[in-house]
Amino acid sequence: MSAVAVEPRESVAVEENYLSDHTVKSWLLTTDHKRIGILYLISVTLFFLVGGAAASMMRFELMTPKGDLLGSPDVYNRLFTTHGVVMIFFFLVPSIPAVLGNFLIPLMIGARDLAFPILNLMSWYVYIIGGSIAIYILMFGGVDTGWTFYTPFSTMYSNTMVVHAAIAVFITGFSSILTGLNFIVTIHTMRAPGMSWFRLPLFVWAHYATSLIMVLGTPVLAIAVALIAVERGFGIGIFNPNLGGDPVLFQHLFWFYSHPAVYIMILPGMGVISEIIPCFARRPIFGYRFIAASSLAIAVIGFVVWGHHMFVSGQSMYAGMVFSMLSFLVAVPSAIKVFNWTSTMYKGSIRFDTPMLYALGFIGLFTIGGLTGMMLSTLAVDIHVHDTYFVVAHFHYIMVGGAVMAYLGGIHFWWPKITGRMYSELLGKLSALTVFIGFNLTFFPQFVLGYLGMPRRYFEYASEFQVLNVMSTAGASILAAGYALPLFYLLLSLRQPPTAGKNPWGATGLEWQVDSPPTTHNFDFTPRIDRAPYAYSPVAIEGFDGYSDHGSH
Amino acid sequence: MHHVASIKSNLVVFALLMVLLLATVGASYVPLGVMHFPVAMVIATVKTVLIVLFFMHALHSHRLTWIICVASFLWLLLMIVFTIIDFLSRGWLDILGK
Repeated sequence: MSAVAVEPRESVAVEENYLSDHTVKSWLLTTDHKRIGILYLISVTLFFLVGGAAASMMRFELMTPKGDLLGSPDVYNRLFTTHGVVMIFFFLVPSIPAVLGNFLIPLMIGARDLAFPILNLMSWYVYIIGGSIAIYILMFGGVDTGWTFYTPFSTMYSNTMVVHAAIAVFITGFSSILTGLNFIVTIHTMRAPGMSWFRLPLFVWAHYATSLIMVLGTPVLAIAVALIAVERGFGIGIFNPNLGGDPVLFQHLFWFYSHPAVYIMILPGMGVISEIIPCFARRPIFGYRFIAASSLAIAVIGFVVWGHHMFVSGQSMYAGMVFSMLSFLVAVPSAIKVFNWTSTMYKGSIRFDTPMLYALGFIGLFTIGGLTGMMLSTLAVDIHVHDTYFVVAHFHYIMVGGAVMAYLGGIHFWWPKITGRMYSELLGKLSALTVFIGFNLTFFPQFVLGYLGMPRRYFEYASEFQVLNVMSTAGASILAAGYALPLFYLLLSLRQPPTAGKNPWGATGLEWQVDSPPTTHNFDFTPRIDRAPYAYSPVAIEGFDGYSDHGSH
Repeated sequence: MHHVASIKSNLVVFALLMVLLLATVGASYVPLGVMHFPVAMVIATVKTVLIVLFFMHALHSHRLTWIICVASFLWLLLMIVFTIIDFLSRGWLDILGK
């Protein structure tokens, strides 16, 4: 592995970075993948606040067994639907891919942009159109079906804005498809010389697998919600048995996308963790090829497990058995990742900087979420805890303990690259710790609540569940403070001069070899990759320059 | 490298699609009994293949595009097969709803 010196880059002294142009027009018409990543960062943060506000109101309502804060169960139904729809479709699905993926994939593979920059901008506009409809629904009536839109309630009984919500989800799905398509083509066709498939960062592998799910799964969701609109609007029998339809068919179509969607949310997070762990353990990643292959395995197997959401739906017992066994199978690649991250840290020289604290939090919480997933894959156990708070706790351990922790870890890891600024490490560590404590206090009691039999989506509950509910609400307050902290100190860091330098963490990825913030075209020359990723060892780090001049300007 | 289809070939495919459309409509008036569905699906499949090969340019595309096309249909098959597994095996146990 040669380490050819980088030639002096004369243009750098005069070239401005991607943030230099401040006009509104330059932002709204940008095709720069980094700027589009920032547009997504702002947008998903706003939606996170909306979804978080809905969750907070629900938690305050659940402080007492009686429904006394929100006034009526209808309001509560609208709140949990808002929370679910906003958090899933407008925050979790786009968060890591559209923010960090957009920003980092071209930098990581040595490209100047994504394959289709205009399509990339279009995906953001499509997302904003869908999001605007969602906000309109929120302001003018809401939806009460839950984010799952289950029939026959959504098609025959609900008097809320179901069709509007279907349109919002339908439109936003295309944003996801466009992003996935862009990533697939970019990763196939725009890798720098020497960047073979097995030299790709695991973040890129994870996004490749995610993109496959986005492209293959999202159209099915779009069709499923469109069929709801068709049945409601025109009375065509798709799901209504009286018209010759089958209500369980909706659940099949919905979960064919929405279970893989869980992997759309968690796989990019796994990619983030695969970057952070070796950097802060100063060790090469353990089992690179297994982690890369496990991303694809999760994407593929994840498509044939959806029926585990339907064990009590009237689905046949035989189908339930098949889906149960396949669900156990999907745990294998997830476990491979967890074991490999743990092995990476073995005998490492671990630094507990903020991104690493978030990554460690991810591993612990994702493991709990994954193992309780195994409990839910077991037919008999699932029948006991189905539609209880046990399920709520389980998927929040995956989506919040997993995906949101990874997102925040990634934001903290690449913030110096994105903005050129460092943040207060003390406040960063405090936020990671606060989020971890707040999260566990919020959701661990919900495992107990569910196991004891408290159903989910209920406005009022039996008084013996109050202590655990108060604990959960108290935890949610701490969690909210933990989430507010980064918003404060990351924004505050923007007031500082950009002095972070190219590579403040001593990381080996290609993105750390360009300026912080990067220039508009990322690289002044096409880099040539001559080594495997994650060359973390004291020797390799000392003289590491990452790539050499390929000579094509 | 990029193959441009002639107007003539596009018109021929279009005419074939129109014929198949008439076949679909016509078949719905013929008393085929249980064969209605399979016949309609065969005609629809032929239409789909024509559209994918000619109008979506798959015929003259890179092998990778072929893989993507085939994989997409396999995914669709996956969804249909597993859904049908549920539908067909309902009621095998002599328990209501199972």
